[in-house]
Amino acid sequence: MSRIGTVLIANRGEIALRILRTVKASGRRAVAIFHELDAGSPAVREADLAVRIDGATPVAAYLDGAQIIAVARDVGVDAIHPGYGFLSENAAFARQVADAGMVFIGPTPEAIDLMGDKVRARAFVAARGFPVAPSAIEDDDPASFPKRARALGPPLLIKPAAGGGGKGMRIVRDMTALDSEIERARSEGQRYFGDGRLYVERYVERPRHIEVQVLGDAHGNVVHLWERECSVQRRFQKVIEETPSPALTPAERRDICDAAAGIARAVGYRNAGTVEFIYGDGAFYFLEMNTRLQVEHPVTELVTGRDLVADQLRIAEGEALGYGQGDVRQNGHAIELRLYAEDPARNYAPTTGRIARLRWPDIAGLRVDSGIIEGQRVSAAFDPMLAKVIVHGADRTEAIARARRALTETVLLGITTNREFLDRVLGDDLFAAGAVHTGFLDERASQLALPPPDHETLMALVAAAALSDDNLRAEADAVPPLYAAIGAWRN
Amino acid sequence: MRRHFEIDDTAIDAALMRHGDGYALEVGGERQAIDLSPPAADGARTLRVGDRRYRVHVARDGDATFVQVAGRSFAIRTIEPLTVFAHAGAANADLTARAPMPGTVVSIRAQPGARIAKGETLMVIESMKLETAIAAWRDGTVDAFHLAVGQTFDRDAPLVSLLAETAE
Repeated sequence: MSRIGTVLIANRGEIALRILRTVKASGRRAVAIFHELDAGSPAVREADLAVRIDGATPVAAYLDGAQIIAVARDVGVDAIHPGYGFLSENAAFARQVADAGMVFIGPTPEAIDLMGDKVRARAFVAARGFPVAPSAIEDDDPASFPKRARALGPPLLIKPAAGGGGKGMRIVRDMTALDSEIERARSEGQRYFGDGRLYVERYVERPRHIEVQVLGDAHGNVVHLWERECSVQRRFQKVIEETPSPALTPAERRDICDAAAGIARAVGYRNAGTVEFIYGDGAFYFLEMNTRLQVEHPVTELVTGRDLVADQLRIAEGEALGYGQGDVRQNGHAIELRLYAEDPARNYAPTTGRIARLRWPDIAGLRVDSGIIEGQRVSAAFDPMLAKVIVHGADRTEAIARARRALTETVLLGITTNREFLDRVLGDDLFAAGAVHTGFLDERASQLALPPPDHETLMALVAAAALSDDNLRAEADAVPPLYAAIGAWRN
Repeated sequence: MRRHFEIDDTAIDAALMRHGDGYALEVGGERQAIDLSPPAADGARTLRVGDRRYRVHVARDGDATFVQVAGRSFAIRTIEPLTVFAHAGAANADLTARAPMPGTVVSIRAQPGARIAKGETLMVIESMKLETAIAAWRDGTVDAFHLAVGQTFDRDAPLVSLLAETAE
């Protein structure tokens, strides 16, 4: 395969900028696409060429594969990098890119299809001897499905076969409710995905989410780049990720990473992917495989010293990985904090506003992947993630200390974010002990809630607001000091 | 020089006045000398309130002041006392549904002029991949939809209005 000279980045925000930087640093040309709401974004400014796209909604523009391929053809690009979300796990799009004579920077459409079907993926993995949670699949024999589900014993997790994103999932602890919960899950699956088929898994109480980064090339080489612990979540979305996982013993780490690499090898996987596992009580089970670059890939880059996007580009060109498993070492500890435009005190409701001031601090080991700049308006049109604050330290304690310093010293004004909440989580005793699970944020909600500002702080805030208000100052200046004093004593 | 300040759910009435060469802040009969230095090279300013000193960052946007102190950001809304009074007495407060959170309009389910019953879905909005139905909060007649399908909006944006009911 020939060298990729020009890459179109079919994404937005921080990931568009992050991909663009590696594309340019490797001597290639970067083409950005943007909806008009993103016209002032950093990726658009730094691109060699930026092309506007449109859609019925802003999100629809970035999901419009035909329009994006037409742009790519017009400007003559060699390859399309989909980033994450949007078109990244759309096998039809990957095929259309190839049909248009360009390279899709990602796995084969067959691998995307296989892993996109959760039931098929699970069966594929189980058939090759990798661990999956004990389960009952309705399609195997619909008549005996409730009986087989009951035989697994509680607690159970009912999932829609066509599901994703936590929708339609139901936990059953009381088996007398099994039949009614199956019916409810079926109607939700029907409503969300147009498909009422189900499967049931043994549910792991207080599970951890641990995933493994893998890379495969066109020559059959596969390596893993160690694990990431992503258990700190809200509404099934990750908030804090780190590597190494504080939970795994060295033997468990080896087993889970070997399993991930084995699964990738069995799929004949090419390019970057992530195998996700549920871990609890010393056992781990395959959950799903994400056939794309992950949001949290930077923590892997910081501990391994590798540039995953650079590797993706080389693999897409048909080059061999060029290094083996023994060359991939875990050095130190890395933590990623997702900075969201949301209010944790209002059930993480999204917030909007204009970024009135933004200054990232200069701290050893700090990397910021940001899609925002000062003056930019943050609308509700897109995902609320603004930036990722990523730190590297010699060990977990140093990484946490650096992360807290980075959050505190960042200047971010004009929009409510989860910044202060992230600092509360990092300062929590259970987080410090590494004792997290996917229900951690809900369970610790009262301890993690931000205390209201005290009286002195309120006075300071009012003083700052009053003194920075030119009109108010002018009014005060117009009143002679003596008269003002009398006015105040009247109270 | 008296204003109403809102910080999250806390409301504070305060007055700014001259005090010697500088200013003083009066809240609830208590008066303290205050001062805000010009920004340093890194944008930080020194705020003095009585004997206390704070390193702060301050930005303004309309009637909102954003202040970061000790790693925590706050939004302070400044309202003139007259405006507070006007809002408190607003008639027909039930005419318009406002956005509970920022989002996008997914669909509109009625026409202006249509009679609707309480509980009927008027429009569907989407925020964070979650759809929320905006239902009629009383029986009435649709006056106007303030947004079109596909449009995005901020929190508190007017979504849909019902006509005022004539007194029986």
